[in-house]
Amino acid sequence: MQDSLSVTGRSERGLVVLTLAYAPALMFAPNTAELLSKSVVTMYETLVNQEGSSDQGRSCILIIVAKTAGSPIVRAVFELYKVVTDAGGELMVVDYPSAYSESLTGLGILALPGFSLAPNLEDAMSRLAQK
Amino acid sequence: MKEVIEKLGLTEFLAYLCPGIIVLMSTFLWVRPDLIGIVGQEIARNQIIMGVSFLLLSYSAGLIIASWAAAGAHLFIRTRMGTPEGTHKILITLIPLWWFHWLAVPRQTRNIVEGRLRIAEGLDSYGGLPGLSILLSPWDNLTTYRIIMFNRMPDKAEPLFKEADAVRGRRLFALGVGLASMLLSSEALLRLLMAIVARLRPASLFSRLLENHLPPASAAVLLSIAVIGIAASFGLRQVAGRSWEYELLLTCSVARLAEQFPPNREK
Repeated sequence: MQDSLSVTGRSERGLVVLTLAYAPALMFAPNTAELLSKSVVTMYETLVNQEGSSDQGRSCILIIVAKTAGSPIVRAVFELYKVVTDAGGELMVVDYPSAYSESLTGLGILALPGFSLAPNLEDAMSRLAQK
Repeated sequence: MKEVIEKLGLTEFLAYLCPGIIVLMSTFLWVRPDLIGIVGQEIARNQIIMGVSFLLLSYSAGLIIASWAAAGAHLFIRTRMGTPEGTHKILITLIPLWWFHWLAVPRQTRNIVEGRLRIAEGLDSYGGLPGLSILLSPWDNLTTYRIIMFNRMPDKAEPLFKEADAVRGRRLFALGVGLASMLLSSEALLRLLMAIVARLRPASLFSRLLENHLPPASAAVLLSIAVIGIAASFGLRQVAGRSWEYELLLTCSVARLAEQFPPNREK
C-alpha cells in the first residue's frame, strides 16, 4: 500500500510545502486514513522542527496530486489542519480534486478558521505571505 | 398521541401534506374557484371523492415542494459554505436563492467537523458503496448513517435514534412549509404589483386581467398574506436550520458511541 502513496516536503519562503500523491485505489484500502494522516503530520512536524519557526513558518501548503478523493484524504487534511492551527499557522490546500470538493464543503471544513483552498501554489504562497 | 403520530408516520405525512395544501390554496389568488365547472356537479357534491382528490393533490404537490426545498437549501449551503467549484455568484441567482432558500446553517466548530467526519467514515465503511458520503446531501447523510448503524449499535443508543428521527420530521415540515409560505407571499406580492400597475395605467393588460379574469382581492389582504408569509417562512427556515443542527449533534453522538462500542455486532 505504501507504494501507491508518496509524501514529500520542503520549506519555501518560510512556509512548509507538502506534496501528497496517491493512487486512486488507495481510497478504498483499509486503514488508509491513518496512514495518510500519519504521513503528512509526521512530514510537517519534521520540517517545522528542522526550520525552527516564525509564526508564518508554521503555516503549511498541502499540494494534492491525485484525481480522486474520499473520506481518508479528508481525514488526513483535517488531522494536518489540527496540528498546523494548534501551532499557530494556517493550512492551505492546493489542487484538491475539484469533483470531490463537495466532501470538504459538506463536512464544513471550509468554514473553519485557518483553512482554505487555493487554485495553485503561487496563489497560496502570495496569500499566506500577505498574512 | 405523540406515539400514535410516530407509529403511523404522520409527522412525515404532514410534512409533505401541509406545504401541498398551502400551494394548492395559493392558486385561488389566480383562479376563480369553479369546481362544478371543472369536475361537474355530481362529482363536486361527492365529499369523499373531493376529499381524497384534495389529499392526493396536496400530497403530490407537497412532495414536489419538499424535493425543491431540499435541493434549494443544499444549493444555498454550498454557496454559503464556499464550494470553490460550481458556485453561482451572479447576483441574479443569489437573490432568489436567498429569498426562497436561506437557511440557518449549523455552527462549524472543530468538534462538529470531527463528528461529521466520523459520520462520513461510517457511511463509507458500512454503507456498502465507496464514496457514499459524497453522493448524499448533508441531511441524507445523517438519516442514512442512522439507518445503517441502527442494528449495529448498543441499546443505549436507541433514545438518540428516536429523538434524531423526531427532529428530522420537524426539519422536513419546517423546510417544506417555509418554502410554500414564501411562494404564497411571492404570489401575493406579484398580485399587489399588478394592482399598483393597473392603478397607474388603467388601460394596461394588468388592468383588464384584474377586472375580468383574476379573483378579487383587496390590497390590504394581499399585503397581509405577503407579510405573514414572509415572517412565517423565515421563522420556519430558522427552525429548520436549528433542527438540522440538533439532528446533526445527535447523530454525532451516535457516531461517538460507535467509536466507543465498535459496531461489529447485530442486535
